[in-house]
Amino acid sequence: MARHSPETRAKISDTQRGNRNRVTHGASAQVPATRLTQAAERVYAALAEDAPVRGPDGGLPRHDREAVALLARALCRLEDRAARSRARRLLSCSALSRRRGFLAAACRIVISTRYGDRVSVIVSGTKPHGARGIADHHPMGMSTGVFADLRGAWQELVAEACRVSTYAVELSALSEGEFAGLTGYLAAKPRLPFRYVSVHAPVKNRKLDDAESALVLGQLPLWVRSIVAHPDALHELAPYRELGTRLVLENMDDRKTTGRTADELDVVFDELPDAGFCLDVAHAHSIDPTMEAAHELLDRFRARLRQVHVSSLRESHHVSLTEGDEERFASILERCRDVPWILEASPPQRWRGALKPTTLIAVGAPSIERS
Amino acid sequence: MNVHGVARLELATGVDFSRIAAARSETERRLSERSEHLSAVQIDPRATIVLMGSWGRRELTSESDDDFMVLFEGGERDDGRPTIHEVAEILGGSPPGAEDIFGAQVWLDDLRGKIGRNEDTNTNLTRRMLFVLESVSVRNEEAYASARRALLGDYLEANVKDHRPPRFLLNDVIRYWRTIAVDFESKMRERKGEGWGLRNAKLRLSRKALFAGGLLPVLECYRYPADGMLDYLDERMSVPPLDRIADAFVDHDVVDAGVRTLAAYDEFLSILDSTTKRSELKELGVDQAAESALFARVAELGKEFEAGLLSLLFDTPELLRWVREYIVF
Repeated sequence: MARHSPETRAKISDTQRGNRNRVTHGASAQVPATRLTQAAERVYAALAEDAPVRGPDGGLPRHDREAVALLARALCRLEDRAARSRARRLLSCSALSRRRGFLAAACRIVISTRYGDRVSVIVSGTKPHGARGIADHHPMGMSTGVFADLRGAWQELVAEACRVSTYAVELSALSEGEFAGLTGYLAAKPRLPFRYVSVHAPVKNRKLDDAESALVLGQLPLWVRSIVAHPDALHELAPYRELGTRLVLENMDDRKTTGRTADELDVVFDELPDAGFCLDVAHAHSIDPTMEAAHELLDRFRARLRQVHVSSLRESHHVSLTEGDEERFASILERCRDVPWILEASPPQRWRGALKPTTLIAVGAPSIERS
Repeated sequence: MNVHGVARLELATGVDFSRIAAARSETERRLSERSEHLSAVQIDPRATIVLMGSWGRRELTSESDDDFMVLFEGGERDDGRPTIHEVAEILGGSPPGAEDIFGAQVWLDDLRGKIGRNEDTNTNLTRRMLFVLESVSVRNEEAYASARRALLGDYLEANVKDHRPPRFLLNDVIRYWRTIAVDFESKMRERKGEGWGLRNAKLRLSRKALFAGGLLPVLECYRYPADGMLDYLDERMSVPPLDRIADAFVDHDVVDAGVRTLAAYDEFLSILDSTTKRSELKELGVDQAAESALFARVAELGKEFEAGLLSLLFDTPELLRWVREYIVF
C-alpha cells in the first residue's frame, strides 16, 4: 500500500470513500458525487434554454439523462485540468480542452440533446476525429522547392510534383532569378493537371524594390490562386495591397524577428486586409513546441486560411515529417482538412503506400512529362 | 434561446458573417413590406403566395428579382385566386410567360403526383425543389406549411427505413442538382453564352448552397427512426439553406472549415450586391473569363465553398459512411 504524508492523508480522508486516486492520479480520479450533481444541474439549466425538444412532461427528454451525466463528468474533469494547468502556467484552458477533445465531446452531447430523445446513443457511436491518417489527405501537393537538384527546370519540377499529387502544387521561386524563369514557363501556358496552384514569392537575392516586386507578382496568370510571401520579406506593405486576396502570408519560424505569432501577423494583416494565410506547421512548432501558438494562429486567422505547409524542421531546414511531428501536428492539421497541404520536404517513407499518384498521359506540348 | 445555423457558427467561433447578416436583415425588411402589400389581395383559403430563390435563402441583394408563385392545394382549376396578374401588379413586375418557372399558378397535386413520371418536367421538378428547399411564404403561411409537410410526407411514404437516409427524397434532391448543372450548359448553348459569367457564379455558389442545404438534412436522417424523419425534415426546411449547412458544420465539430465555407459565401454576397461587379459578371462571356480578375475571384470563392462542403462530407467519419453508401448509387 502506498505511504502518504499526514497532509496527504488528511486530503484523502476528506474525499469520498473509494476515491483515493483523486489525490494520487489526477485526471483518472473519480469526481465526487455532490460535485457531479451540481455540474449536472448547470448542464440542465443551459439545455433548458437551448434545447427545443421537450419530453411529454415539458422537461428534457428522459433518455438525455445519461448524456447529461457524461457531460457533467467531462466538465468537472475539464475544470480540474484547467485549474491545475493555470496554476502551473502550462496551458490555457482552451488549449487543454482541444487537446483532450473534452469540449468536442461536450459539444456533441449538447448537440445530440438538441435532437431529442431519439439520438442519445449516437454520442458513444462516433469515431473520434483524427482517426483518419495524415497521408490520405485529399487536397495534398508538393512544393517544387523540394527538388533542389532540378532547380530552374520547371517542366521537370512539375513532373516530379505530379508523382506525389496532381491535386495541388506550389511553384517555389525563392530567388528573383528563379522567378524570372518561372514566369517564362507559365507564359507558355503549360497543361497542368492541378486544381490548386500557388507560387512562392522570392525571399532571397532580391534586387527589386517592393513596388516593382508587387507589380511582377501581380502579372502572374490569374489561375495562380495564391502568391505565398514571407511577411519579413515585405518591407513596404502598401504596394502589395494590389495583389488583394491572391497574396497569402506565411507565419515565420523562430529565426525571424517578426511574422511568427498571431499578434505579429495581426499587424501585417491590418495593412493587407484582403490577404490570405498560409499556416506553416513546422514554423509554428519552432516558436512553441506545445503547438498552442499554432492553434492561436488558426483561431485568429481561420477565415483567411488558404493552404498549409507541412514538414518537420531540423537545424532550420525543412525535412520529411517525422513520426513524432505527425502526431504532434495532428490536431492542428485536423482543423485544416478543407485546404491544400503543401509538402515542403519529401513525403515520409512510411507514407509511400498511402500516396497513389495519378497516371497522366501527355498529349502535345509543352507536356508535364519529365524529359 | 435557441441559437441555430449561421448565428450558432458565429457564436462558436467568434467570426462574423456581416454580409450574410445584412442580406438577411434586408430580406426580412422587404418580406414584411411584400406581406403588407399583398395583405389586401383576395386569396383562396388553401392557397399561398410563395417567394423563392434569394428570398428563400434570405439573401436578397439590391438586384434580386421577385421570383414568386401562387400555390394552390388540389388540382388545376380556372378560378384560383389570386391570379398572377393580381400578384405581379402588387409586386411591381410584369407577369412572366406561362411556361416560366416563376410567376405562375401552381397546383400542389402536380408537385406531389408527378414525381418521377414522364409529366415531371424540369419546370415541375424545379418548382417542387425550390418550394421545399428555398422558399418563403408572404401570404397564408398555414397553407404553405401544410403543403410543404404534405410534399415531404409523400417522399417519406416510400419504403423508408429507421436510421437510414430516405432514398426517394435523396435521389430527387441529387437529380435536381444534376438537372441544374446540365440545364446550365444547355442554356448557354441556346443563348450563345449570354449572361454566362453571372449564371456560372450562381452555379458555383448559390445553387451549390441550395443543393448542399437539401442534401445534408436528408443524409442526417440517419439519426432518426422512420417516424421521426418528417418532423426533422420539416423543421430543417423551415430555415434557410445556409443555416442547415452551418448547423451541419457545428454538429460534426468541423467549425474551422465551416468558417471558411461561409466566409467564401459572405464575400460572394458582397459581389452580388455590387451593381458594377454584378454587371461585369453578367456581361462576361466564357471567352473572357480567363482574363477577368473578378471572375477569377468568384471561381476561387466557389472552390473554397465547395472544398469546405466536401471536407464536411468526406472528412467527418459519421457523414462519410452515409456518403459512401448512399451518394454514388
